[in-house]
Amino acid sequence: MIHNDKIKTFLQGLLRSYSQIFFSDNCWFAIPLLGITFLDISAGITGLVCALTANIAASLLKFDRLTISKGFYGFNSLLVGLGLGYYYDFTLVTLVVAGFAGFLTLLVTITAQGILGKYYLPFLSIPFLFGIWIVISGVGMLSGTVDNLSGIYLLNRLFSLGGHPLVNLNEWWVKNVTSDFLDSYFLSLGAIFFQFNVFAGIVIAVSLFFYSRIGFLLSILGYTVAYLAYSFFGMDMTQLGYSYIGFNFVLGAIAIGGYFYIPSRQSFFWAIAITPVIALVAAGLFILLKPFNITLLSLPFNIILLTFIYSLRFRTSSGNFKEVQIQEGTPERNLYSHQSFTKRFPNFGWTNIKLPFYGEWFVSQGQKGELTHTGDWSDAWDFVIIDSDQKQFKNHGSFLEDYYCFGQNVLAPADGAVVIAEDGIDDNNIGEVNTVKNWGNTIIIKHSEGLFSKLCHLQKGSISVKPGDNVHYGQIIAKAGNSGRSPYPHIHFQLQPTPYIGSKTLHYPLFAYILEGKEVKTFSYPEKDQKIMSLEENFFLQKAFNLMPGTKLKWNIKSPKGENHVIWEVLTSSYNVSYIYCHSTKSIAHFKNDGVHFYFTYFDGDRTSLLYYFYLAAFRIPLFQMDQNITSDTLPVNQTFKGSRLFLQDLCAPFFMYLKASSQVRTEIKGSQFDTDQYTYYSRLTGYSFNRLIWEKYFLLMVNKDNSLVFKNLSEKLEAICEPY
Amino acid sequence: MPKQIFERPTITRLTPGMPSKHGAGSVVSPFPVIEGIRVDDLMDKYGSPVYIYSERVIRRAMEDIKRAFSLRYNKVQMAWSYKTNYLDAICRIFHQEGSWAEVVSGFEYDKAIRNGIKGENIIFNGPGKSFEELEIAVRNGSFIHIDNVDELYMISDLCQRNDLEARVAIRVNMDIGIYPKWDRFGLNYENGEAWDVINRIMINPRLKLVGLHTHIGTFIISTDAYRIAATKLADLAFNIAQKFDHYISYLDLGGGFASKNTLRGAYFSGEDTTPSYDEYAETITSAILNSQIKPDKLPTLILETGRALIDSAGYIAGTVQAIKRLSDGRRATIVDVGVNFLFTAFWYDHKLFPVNSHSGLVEETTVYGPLCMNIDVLRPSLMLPALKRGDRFVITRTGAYNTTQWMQFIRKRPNVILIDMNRNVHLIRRAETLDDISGNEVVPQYLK
Repeated sequence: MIHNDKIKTFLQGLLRSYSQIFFSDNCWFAIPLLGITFLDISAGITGLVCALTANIAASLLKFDRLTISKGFYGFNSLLVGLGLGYYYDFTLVTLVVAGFAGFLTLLVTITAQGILGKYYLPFLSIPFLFGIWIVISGVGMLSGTVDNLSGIYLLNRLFSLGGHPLVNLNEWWVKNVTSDFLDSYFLSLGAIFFQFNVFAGIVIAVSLFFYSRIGFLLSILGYTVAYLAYSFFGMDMTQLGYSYIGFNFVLGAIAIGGYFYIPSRQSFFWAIAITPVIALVAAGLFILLKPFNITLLSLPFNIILLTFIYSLRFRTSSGNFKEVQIQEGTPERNLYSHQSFTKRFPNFGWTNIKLPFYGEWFVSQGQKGELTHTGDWSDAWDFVIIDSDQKQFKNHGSFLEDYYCFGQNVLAPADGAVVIAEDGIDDNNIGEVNTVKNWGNTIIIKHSEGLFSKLCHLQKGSISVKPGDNVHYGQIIAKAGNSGRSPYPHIHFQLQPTPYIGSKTLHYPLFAYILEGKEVKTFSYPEKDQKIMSLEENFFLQKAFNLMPGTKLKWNIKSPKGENHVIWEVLTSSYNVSYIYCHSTKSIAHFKNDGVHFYFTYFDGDRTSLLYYFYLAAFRIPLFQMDQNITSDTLPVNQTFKGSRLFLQDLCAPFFMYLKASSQVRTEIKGSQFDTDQYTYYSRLTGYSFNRLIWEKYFLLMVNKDNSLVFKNLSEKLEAICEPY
Repeated sequence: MPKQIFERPTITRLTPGMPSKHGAGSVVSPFPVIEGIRVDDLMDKYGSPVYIYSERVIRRAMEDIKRAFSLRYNKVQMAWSYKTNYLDAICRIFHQEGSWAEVVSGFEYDKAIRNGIKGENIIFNGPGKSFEELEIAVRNGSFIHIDNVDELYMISDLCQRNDLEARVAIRVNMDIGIYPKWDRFGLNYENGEAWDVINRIMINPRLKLVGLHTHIGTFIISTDAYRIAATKLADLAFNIAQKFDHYISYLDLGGGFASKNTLRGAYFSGEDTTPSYDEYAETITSAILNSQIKPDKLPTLILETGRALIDSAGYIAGTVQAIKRLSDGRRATIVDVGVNFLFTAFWYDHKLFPVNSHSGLVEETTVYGPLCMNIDVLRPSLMLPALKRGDRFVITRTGAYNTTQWMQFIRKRPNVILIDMNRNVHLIRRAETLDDISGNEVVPQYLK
């Protein structure tokens, strides 16, 4: 088993060494690329040997398996091998040299990873440059190597590969396609793999198109801009193909336009803008390195990309041109995930600040209020309690005790440490204010660096915490009072960036609360005259959806196709993302549970699997007790559409989205509040193209008291039952 | 100038000088309107006596109690105590306000179901539940509050026989430092009986212990008693969690909050001595929050408050039947409302107001009901203006128990009306007819 895994890792690594040259870990994409390296058999073999050596060495030396399997340790060696085979014809000596060159490049790769990794920068093809310069220069000294001339005698090679048909095809191409532009584009693509012929280029272009539409688009864009730039500067265009320069623009455009940054208008703009810069660097380096007899290869691309990525890290705000945080493999996936993620979790990673009280309160002054919440202190709330006559007090309201909120518990709004607890200021009589001690009795709690909450006008003598105390959410820390500049009892609540009384406020949202007793708001700002209430955790659903790593879900599926058993396991990735892994289909689905909702965030694998249906049905489901509540969300289109529809959308996705998939979940609760029998989620999934409905799916998920689940795909008459876990 | 009202002459002792400890003298104000509607109009239409309820007062009481508790504690559930007042219309107002039903008999259980309450939202209390009643409650998933060990065996038996699972709680009685000590309901805390039964329930796979219940008494003016009760219940819940790793879903503190009525023999008026909802809430919720129960496992707090919520919403309007003088010279007033309709007269010094204005002079009188029974005394002594036959009066704070414990004794029960939020008047129980009472009787053939 473990042995098999090792071999699998190794083979994946080897194959992906080919696709990784285009920043891809897609094995299917790697296959045609592997194929075209053998158009020049000598280059193909030495390339493969180099990649093999690097991957074997990396496996034996027990480097990180994930990195190996992604092909990161192989692609630089592969390039060195291809270069070696291109320059020198295939002999036993070159073969042996290839092996050592592969190992050398692996060492350089790991060193480059170590050095650049400290700056969170990719090592790109820098190890390749080092390797190829050393090897090409060094091998020339060895006897037993023969220059490879097949690049010169093109027809001979074509004939040996494909006989007459290929030769004829070449003739046709030369006669009919006389465009320098196209010729040069394909040659540039081929040059990436040291294959200087249009066929290699065409195969690469087609594979690239199938692998990523955005990537393909960017390759053309980068190349075109370079072509125009060269024409404008009056430089020799043929240089593009034959001096191994053209692919710098292609890779540069893909890297900036779609791989390291989220594809968008901005990324396309920068992909275009950077191209002339690469051209300039190429021209300059060409002259500088000429005396050393060093070819440029991918040096301009490497230099520009590293400086570009590094420099842009120092931006104070990333605006709409965002770096990819978690690499998902293709520009499309990065884009769709990003779109979905920013829409669904705009406040990802923010501290969950909750309301500092029990029960339903009323916002008597909101943020940017008309009374005292102005200027630097505008992002604050005043809370009171009112009755159905909109009054804050019983009797005549002449005494503090008449006010409903006076003496009510004040809670810590989130976990943190108390930094200030100021007590001892008298509660004012109704209508009087203390303008000297403006804020009255006050508690300030530190939640994280630069995030403090402040609660003011507390009752004298009611503060039960002291500076240095750790408090947790919901802990009673004081009682509402009327101290400071407070004519009638209320709680003043604000978030602020510094730990001082009188600090200016911070515009920061509250995590989750119920508005007017019926609507759940997350990361929102309560407004004046709203009635708000804390959201309670529901233990029943928390238990059902608290999927801890190691939990196994055993499903028994009944469908028109027959009966079936599948087992899911909850695992955690190295990014600390929890996911469900389906053993039989090897599908994975990432999920997240923030106490208010359960979300799926990513799916990869078989789209006819139960896990995929579950992913759709439970894309976002509420975990709070609210019968007949309806929750909606938008799904990423690459997870819900497929085929030509998605293909076409990919092409214009950075600019315009016309596909849309959404989910609507209705909750139904059976049983009593303390002893709920069953929660049922009715999910309706819909797909739209240009706002026209094109598909619908219906699911039903029942969570039972005994922690068993019943899941139905109503569209496909599939029913699955999960044993209690 | 309106016609002056004739009032018979009265003799009142003149007491010059400083007012006594009773103040400057009694003032009895007239009570001409209820919820903006003239009492005279109501009585003209619905007869005398008549029970009058105000929906506004009910809803306001619910709002106040819910606010008082939910501001201090996250999970609060009210359960309407049916025995306090089970007129369907009244129950439905409480249910609309979110209350569940707390019933103590099969009859009340059926009534709650008929009022649209789901079985799982009914709390079934009481010391004498029959096998059949229990079976229905178990099948409906209601919460059964076990009162005694025999009941436990009965539920266990019926679950076993019918392959059912029951949601149960136990009613616990305890010493909370007040007199009288109620130990006849439920299982005792101090002698370990409650703990014993808890253990029996916990090892029975068919019984699910969801709650703990106590009802410390009625008309409890001391909030501290609730502190002790809540603390002891929370301790039990904590012990259960410790031993069985089982978390109780709710603590039911029962009812017993005092209304603003004045108890017979009390020195101060109930309006001054009765704790507010806020005071009860503060004591009870603090006791639970300060207990050893972990914050994320805190149970729901159930309240079965009846009297305090409904007493002030009810009125009885009646008519003076006769005035007479007793042998010792005291004056007596005979009215058409007796203890048959105002059962709470046994406990309270009910307030009685004339509907129409009067001269302001008052005299001491005894108020008797119309029954031919020596016990039929509404107030042994009361300061009233000089009423005469036919004068109308209103008795306030009669909402609790009077339409459940009323007696059909020598008289038919009168109309009950409800004034809704828009001041529309609804008849919610029509006056009984002879047929209502005698209709169920069967005369043997030979007597016909």
